[in-house]
Amino acid sequence: MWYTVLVPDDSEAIDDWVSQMRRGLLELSVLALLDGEASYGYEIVNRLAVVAQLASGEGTVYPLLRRLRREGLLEAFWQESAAGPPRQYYRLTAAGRSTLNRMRRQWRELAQGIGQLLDSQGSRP
Amino acid sequence: MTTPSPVVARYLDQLAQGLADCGLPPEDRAEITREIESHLADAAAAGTPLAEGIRRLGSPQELARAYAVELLLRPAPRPRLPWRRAAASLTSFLTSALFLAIAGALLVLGGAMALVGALGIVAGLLAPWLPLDTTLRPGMPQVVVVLGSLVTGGLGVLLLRLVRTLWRIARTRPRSVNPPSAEKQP
Repeated sequence: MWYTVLVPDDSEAIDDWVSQMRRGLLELSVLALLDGEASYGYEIVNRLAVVAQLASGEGTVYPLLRRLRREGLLEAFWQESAAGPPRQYYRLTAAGRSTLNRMRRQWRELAQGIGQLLDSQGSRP
Repeated sequence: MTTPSPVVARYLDQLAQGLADCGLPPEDRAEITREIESHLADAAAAGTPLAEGIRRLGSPQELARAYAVELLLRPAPRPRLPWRRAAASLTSFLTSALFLAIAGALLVLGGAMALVGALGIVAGLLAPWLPLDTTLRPGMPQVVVVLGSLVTGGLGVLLLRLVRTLWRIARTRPRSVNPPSAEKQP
């Protein structure tokens, strides 16, 4: 389109925007993943990796788990593993579940609203 | 449980050093390194070569910085002062109590008006066949009694609807005044 010719390549700005958007969604994803069942770091990292768009890795997930735990949204406990050293398991606290429910509602409303906005703009001649 | 390989031990040492350099307290450092060790063991058990597992974690310094960014740049929510919490819950309690008192008064008033209206309609319609002349004002046309009762009853129903709205507001208000927040400390 015409503006791709006129405007210089700003993929760096886009990358920055995407990573900011991901940061909050990763938090929602971790809470959603732990809704109803406890899990440990290695498994959480791998289950999040299925959502490639989140671009989450070990280096972001572990620090996030620790912060969510300190904020009282998650609680952790150690459990022996047959494979090797004990694993640290995480599960939602009551506060975590309430935060998850509110985040989920907010995200759905936001996604729906933005979706409608983009659709209506896109269908213009 | 086996002792970690020299490569893992060196990584964990450097991680602990990096966390210390970033200013994280010893109990955090111990638990973080233990968790990362467990992660590498899980990765190895799943068939990931050790070098690959370590590469994915990033350098020990990078990982330590990532922890510091999450834990130090975003400090834990400050627990609200006890008197402020008490004030907030007192305010929401008083608000609810006020709404409920108004709702209760309207409930009684609305109920009474609806009842009187209904009785009036029945009495007005049945007046010619009932010995009610003593209770109804003598000479008052039947139509006036019925219409008056309709208005009274309608107002009563409106008041009852208002009570329902107030009840709903009173129930939801404490939640919006004092939202559940992550105050629990680990």
